Amino acid sequence: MASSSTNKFVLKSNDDVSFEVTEAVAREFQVIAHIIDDDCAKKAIPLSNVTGEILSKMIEYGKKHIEEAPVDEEDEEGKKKLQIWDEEFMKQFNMEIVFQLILASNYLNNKGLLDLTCCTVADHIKDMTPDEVRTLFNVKNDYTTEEEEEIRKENSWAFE
Amino acid sequence: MAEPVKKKKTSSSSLMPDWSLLPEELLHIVSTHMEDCFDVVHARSVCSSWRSTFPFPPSLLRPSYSLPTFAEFPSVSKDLCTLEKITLFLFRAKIPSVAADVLTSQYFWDGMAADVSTSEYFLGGIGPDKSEDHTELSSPIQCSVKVNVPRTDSTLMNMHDCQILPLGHQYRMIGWYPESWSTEYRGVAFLPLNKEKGEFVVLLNYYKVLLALRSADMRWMRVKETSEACCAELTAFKGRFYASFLNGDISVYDPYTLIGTPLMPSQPLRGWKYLVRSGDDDELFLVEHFDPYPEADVIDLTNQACRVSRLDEEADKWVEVSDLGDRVFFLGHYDNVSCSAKELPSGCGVSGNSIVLTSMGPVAYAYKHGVHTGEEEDDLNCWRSLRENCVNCLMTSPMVADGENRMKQLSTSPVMVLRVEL
Repeated sequence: MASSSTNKFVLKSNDDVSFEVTEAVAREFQVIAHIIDDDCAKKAIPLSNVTGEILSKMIEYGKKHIEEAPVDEEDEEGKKKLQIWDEEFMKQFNMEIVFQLILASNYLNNKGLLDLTCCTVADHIKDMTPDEVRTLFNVKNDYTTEEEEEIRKENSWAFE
Repeated sequence: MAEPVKKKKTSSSSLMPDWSLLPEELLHIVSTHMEDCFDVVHARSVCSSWRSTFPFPPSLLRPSYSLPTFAEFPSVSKDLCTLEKITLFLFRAKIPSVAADVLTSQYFWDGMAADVSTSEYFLGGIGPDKSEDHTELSSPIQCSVKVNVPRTDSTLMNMHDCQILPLGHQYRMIGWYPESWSTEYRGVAFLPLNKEKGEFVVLLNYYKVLLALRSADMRWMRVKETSEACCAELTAFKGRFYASFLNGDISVYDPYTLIGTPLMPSQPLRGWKYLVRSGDDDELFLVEHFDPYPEADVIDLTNQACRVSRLDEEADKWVEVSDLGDRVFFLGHYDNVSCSAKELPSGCGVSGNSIVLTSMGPVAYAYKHGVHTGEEEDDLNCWRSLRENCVNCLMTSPMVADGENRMKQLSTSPVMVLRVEL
């Protein structure tokens, strides 16, 4: 662990913003961990699909999850603390950032952040009408009149 | 791994991305985070790519089985009947007046003070609305549920105005109503025997006898009696059938041999016995509703009590419990159900660790454990009604004269409507 906390790597976004991170934080992202293991990480690691804005947020997430990682499986208190932090972390983003975060956490392969961002989206869809979802997520209604009639039927329920 | 979508306009990153372009496998991860089945139905209505990614909730599918009819038993008939699996839900109207028109007029609480603030609950099976007319729906596509109560206009509720809790499932013989006085059919239970081959066994309560049918031979046969009395309730739990009888007997049946074995509490009480499944086949409870003073000259209906036991499957015995956790039981109507009150807001009239008996008449109170009655001789170690929130039960199958001077139950709508005073 000593070497991985002192070893530093530079991550470089597609708009040329550089971030120096410890090896432990860098390894939070599976793709980067592979690059390090393949010994290709002598200089800055270029990430062609991530902007500086998104990368800084991802590093913030990765750092927190290294620093505050629960001691073990039974550390319920630690898990809870991190979960609360995760919720607060996601509250600051609009849907556009969330969209970019999903793609980037998938690209850099961080399962925790991918699950967190997808869960945030699911929470937004809940309690909304399909029309409200379309507006919030900028999705076009591509149904024909006939298909829409079919959906109306599928959405009509009755106690029986 | 999914390829990130190309930004349409890299120059103006403030443009909202088109979420329908989110790669399917990532949208699939989103769908796994949606637990409520009606949220999934809503998501399916957004656009065609979401529709293909969000699978239709399996809990809303209604597997059905075509079986030979039992109406003429022991004669064998070529006619068929349909057994269907139905998912049960509790709907709490977030806006109490939503169901006002269902609950007013004609019914026994006419004249009840109108200013009493109330909370409304609907319990029952949900299925697709088969009526042709969907024009009542408001223009945006969203889920609605219709409540048909005999002799009143049906009410249409928007699902977003309701809190929805799952209550497990139930099997029904389509066209047969266990609550109707004119039928001998009193309920049915189902157990899968072999998932790969799709084999199953059905146990049917045909008033005086229990009938069983195995999918392998598709023939009704009589199950050997274990009690002198008629079967009152029938349920399936963790691979076995459980039956309670009118005289208080309880038996457990092996689905392969169909041999019944008595499974009584160590000190049985006289009174009605309710079998309650909790969660997804998680636990089975026995609620005994009894009179604590059976020797008294006058039966005091206000002083009835309950004892609750949980089935210890390994030891095969009932273990008395004094705490149901977050659970609330609704007993007596069509089926006994259990749900988690954890999600219910406080002060809504229904809380965890309580039992609502809806079969005791139009007005009920929740039962809680260890209620002080003020009478010293009353045992604290049982469940009594806490006269706090009055529960008005709307029997949606009212009794009517059938023309031959007999009372008959209208059985068109097994939905239970509860109005709880706050």
